[in-house]
Amino acid sequence: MAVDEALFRVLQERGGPPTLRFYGWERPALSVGYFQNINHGINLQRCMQCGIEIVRRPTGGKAVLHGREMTYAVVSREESPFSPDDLIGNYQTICACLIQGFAELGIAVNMAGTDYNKDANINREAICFACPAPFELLARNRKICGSAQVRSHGCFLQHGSVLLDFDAETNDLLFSCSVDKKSGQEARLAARITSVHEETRAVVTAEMLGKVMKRAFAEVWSIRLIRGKLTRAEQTLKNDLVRNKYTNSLWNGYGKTA
Amino acid sequence: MPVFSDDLLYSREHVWVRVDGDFATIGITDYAQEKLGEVLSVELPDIESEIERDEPFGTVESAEKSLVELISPVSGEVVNVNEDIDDDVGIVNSDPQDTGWLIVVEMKDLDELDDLLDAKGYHDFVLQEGEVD
Repeated sequence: MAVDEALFRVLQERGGPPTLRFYGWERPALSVGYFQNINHGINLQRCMQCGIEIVRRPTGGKAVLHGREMTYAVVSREESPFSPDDLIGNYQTICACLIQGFAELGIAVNMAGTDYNKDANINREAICFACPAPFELLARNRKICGSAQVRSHGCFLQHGSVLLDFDAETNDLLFSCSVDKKSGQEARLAARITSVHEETRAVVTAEMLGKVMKRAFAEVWSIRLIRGKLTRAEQTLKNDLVRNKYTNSLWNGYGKTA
Repeated sequence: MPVFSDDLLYSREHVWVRVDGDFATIGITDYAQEKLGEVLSVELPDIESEIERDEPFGTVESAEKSLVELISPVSGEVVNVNEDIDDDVGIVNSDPQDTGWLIVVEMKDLDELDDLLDAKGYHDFVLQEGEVD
């Protein structure tokens, strides 16, 4: 989170090339959306028992359990050679790359339409994957990739998560309101959510998926990806964000740093 | 077709300003709310907090799960916050340039207003973004 935000802030201040990141998590963790109230729909006691830490993203959307998934981040100016400078345009151009990557794995994926889930109250769902928003990616009408953005000063950061496996039972436990019992939404989640493993019946690791997606971004955008490392400004800001924001329980719990 | 009111000033960050002496009422433009889509949540500063021009003063989240930082067009002290938004966030979409106002700021430097656009200037600015007839 700190690396992604540092890239986003330094791009706003100093400009620079866009960045594409794929990464996994050392330990399972729950990332929650910027505005999300962690006291609604998340079983905090169960998370603690399972050693699952909670981190608040700088982006919107709802909670994602990071375990058997691959996280991606795109940091760019809103206007770029690959994209019109609006929210939907940015989403669609990134989705086009992800769709190509999924196709390479033999998974047919489409974008949810603007009317998708219009009647559902997305704001009431605690789980990102339980309720696709317009332009999110579906395989056989079930969500396989969730994404969310933050935009400021003409730049955006888009976070997303591609499920390698979906564990409906664990999600049910973590998102149940009752301390001891499951919420009973396991079947509902399983019907709405799929994963790379479920669609391919093959073992696809995060590393393999990352390579496929990198190739897809390069092909669709006709670009050459160059491996980079954080600049001194990004590194300094990242360290500051780790210290003061992303390990700060006020931020992770309530969205405040002081 | 978004509304461009002649009695407002506009920033290139899609925020409008209504000036009354040293006080500036601030909100998001009709054009911005159209681009954002359905607004789900708004975070605004506390009364008596200081905000700076070109710095974020709040955040809006839309149904497309996009968070947009609101960039302040002026510097000063926040003297009022629209509490009606807590009861009905929908007014930011339905009436962004009137009852959907966000904050009132007592400005520190009225010269900062010189950088803002009038309705025609803002219309021309968003025309360049290619979304307005």
